[in-house]
Amino acid sequence: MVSSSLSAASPVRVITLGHVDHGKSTLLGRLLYDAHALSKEQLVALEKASMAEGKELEPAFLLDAFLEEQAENITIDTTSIPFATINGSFIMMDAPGHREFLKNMLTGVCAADAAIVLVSVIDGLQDQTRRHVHVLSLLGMQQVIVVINKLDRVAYSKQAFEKVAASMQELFNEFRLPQPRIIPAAALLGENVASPSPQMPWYEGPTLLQCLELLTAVTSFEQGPLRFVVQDVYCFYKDPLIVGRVESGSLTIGEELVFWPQAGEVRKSRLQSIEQWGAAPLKATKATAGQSIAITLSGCLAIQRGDVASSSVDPPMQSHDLFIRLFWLDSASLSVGHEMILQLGTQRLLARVSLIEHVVDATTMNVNTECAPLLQQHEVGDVTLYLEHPLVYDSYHKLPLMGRVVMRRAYTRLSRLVGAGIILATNEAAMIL
Amino acid sequence: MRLLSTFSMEHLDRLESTSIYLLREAYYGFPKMGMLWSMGKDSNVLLALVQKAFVGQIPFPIIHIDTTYEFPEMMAFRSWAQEHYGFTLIVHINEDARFGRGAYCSPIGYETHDPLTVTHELKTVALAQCLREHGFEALITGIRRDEDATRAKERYFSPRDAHGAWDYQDQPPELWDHLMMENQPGGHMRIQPLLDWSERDIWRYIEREGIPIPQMYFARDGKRYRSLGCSPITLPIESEATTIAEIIEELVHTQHSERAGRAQDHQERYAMQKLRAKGFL
Repeated sequence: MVSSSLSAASPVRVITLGHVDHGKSTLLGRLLYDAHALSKEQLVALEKASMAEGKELEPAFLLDAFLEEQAENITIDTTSIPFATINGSFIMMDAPGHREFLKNMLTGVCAADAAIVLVSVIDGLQDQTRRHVHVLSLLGMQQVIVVINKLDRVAYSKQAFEKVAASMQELFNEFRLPQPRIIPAAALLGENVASPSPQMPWYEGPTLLQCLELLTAVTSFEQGPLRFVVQDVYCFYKDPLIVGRVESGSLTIGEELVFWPQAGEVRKSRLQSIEQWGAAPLKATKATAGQSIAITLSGCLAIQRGDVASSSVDPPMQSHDLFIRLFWLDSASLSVGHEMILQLGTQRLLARVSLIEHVVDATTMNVNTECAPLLQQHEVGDVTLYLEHPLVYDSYHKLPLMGRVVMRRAYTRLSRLVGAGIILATNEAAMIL
Repeated sequence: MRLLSTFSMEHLDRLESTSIYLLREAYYGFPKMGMLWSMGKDSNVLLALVQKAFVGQIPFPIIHIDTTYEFPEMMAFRSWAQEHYGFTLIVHINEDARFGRGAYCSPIGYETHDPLTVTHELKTVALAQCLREHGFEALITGIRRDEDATRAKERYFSPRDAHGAWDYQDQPPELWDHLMMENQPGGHMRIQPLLDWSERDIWRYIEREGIPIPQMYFARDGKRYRSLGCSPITLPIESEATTIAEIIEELVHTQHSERAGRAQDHQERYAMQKLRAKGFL
């Protein structure tokens, strides 16, 4: 990819969501083309591929790099394409719009800093749109841009645009998300994508590219409470090296660290050193959120993968009982008594479902406030779990990195991902839809 | 060399931290692991990251799939690096194919066959042989998303089946740094820590860390190599860049893609996809 940004800042990761046939791949391909982010080779390949499929220029082919996708005109998996302008650098992610590729969409959203929701002005708000916006609200996505596409097919009608825009605004209100920027566009022709459209003089807002340039990459949690998640312990040298990542806060040499989970006696030790390797290794005195590190302790403690270190101030929660908002992905429904593997950070343990409540169908938005016996695929519910071992965590709204879990199928050889959820503080149940 | 006591993470620090995290997860999940190494710039960045992740150690074998068509300078670099880093080196050549023995009636080479066939036999098949011989559960590779459209769709931990094939239609989701830690029977996992790194990130890191790389990347007589592969099918570009700063400057202004000089990528329309589905990098 041609990269022209001179900025040293992290690129903003943007996922594009939308109903199949509303033109996502075309929009992204067009964005890259108009922002002059394509290399000569990519342009030639694009023209060749378009001609071979009997089209003049199909920008969608750029992302639909897979053979099958070009012939069948659908997107199979998520693509990450980096590109940059003078004003910012981005990683554009395109997720599939088909129902059965929901898991790929979820992967994309979980990795994104911002989202573009694409809707066709002809079809308006669809099932898939509702589901996507629901997932965005579930994961607390704050930066969203709505693009209402295919304006060329309705003669660039302001009324047609405003009708769909109003329904989108209502949808965002429903899900308690901040109101997004809404842009009218015609992706195939490049109208309002990277340059303003002369066809829509009634629209005075920014182009999609201008909106993207206003986005920011998500910042880290340096000011938060210390959470050091242990990945492993290496015994290459005299002192055991505890390796892992600081997810929140910071730690300083000499500081007393508390290791969780606790069972009886409190596990505490002073931080002895932060080990490094490089051309000229210097002794570091402090490590902050986002850094992968290797430490040694003054005391002799049994530390293992899954442990979490905090300071004595503002420690994490620890419990056998968990209350989560769960997005169920598996085709086999979830029921009370069902056992599965729960993962949070490097922790991995067995969980059993005690209760399923407030099940919401992402499409119809029907809420069942009674205790439901089942959670079906693509439904979201509040689930109470009993865990075989105590889990170390924080609520998602307090500290997202320590409050999000994935569920895998238990008792099978290849434990597939079956659900993803966020941990609720017990008084959050009243705040649902 | 950066002190860890900075207050906000620069982009390279973030990339480095994620790559180290991935390497440590892989080491935990797959005891029988190896690292593919091609002596190229990405490979060498990977080596430096491994040393950082394991605090000076390289605790698994380094594998070179040798097509016998490497530039002599690359071979010299290989010997030097083994001495310098002290890692365990496994060199594997698909000798049957290269010399026309066993199942092959005639030798496979660039003189007689097209680049797609040669790449498949001398790299992909060779890799499969090496995997079988050593029983690796996982292989670390240095591929990056921005190198090719099909690599753009990869996962950090990407499963391969018993035939080394890649099922790109059914890739496991990687939510919130939770990675696939199990293999299908007979399969292996590709560990890909450099996916998010751009070409420019690689060069900036090489410069920052002082990572040794072959001199062929720098201009001599108005030409240099932007990407390095087998000598018969790798073309240099016109350039006057003799320092990393000049290379980065050139990158910012170029209109050409990194692998423009690699013939096997461009032979036919879906060359890379076909190669990769069968187990290429």
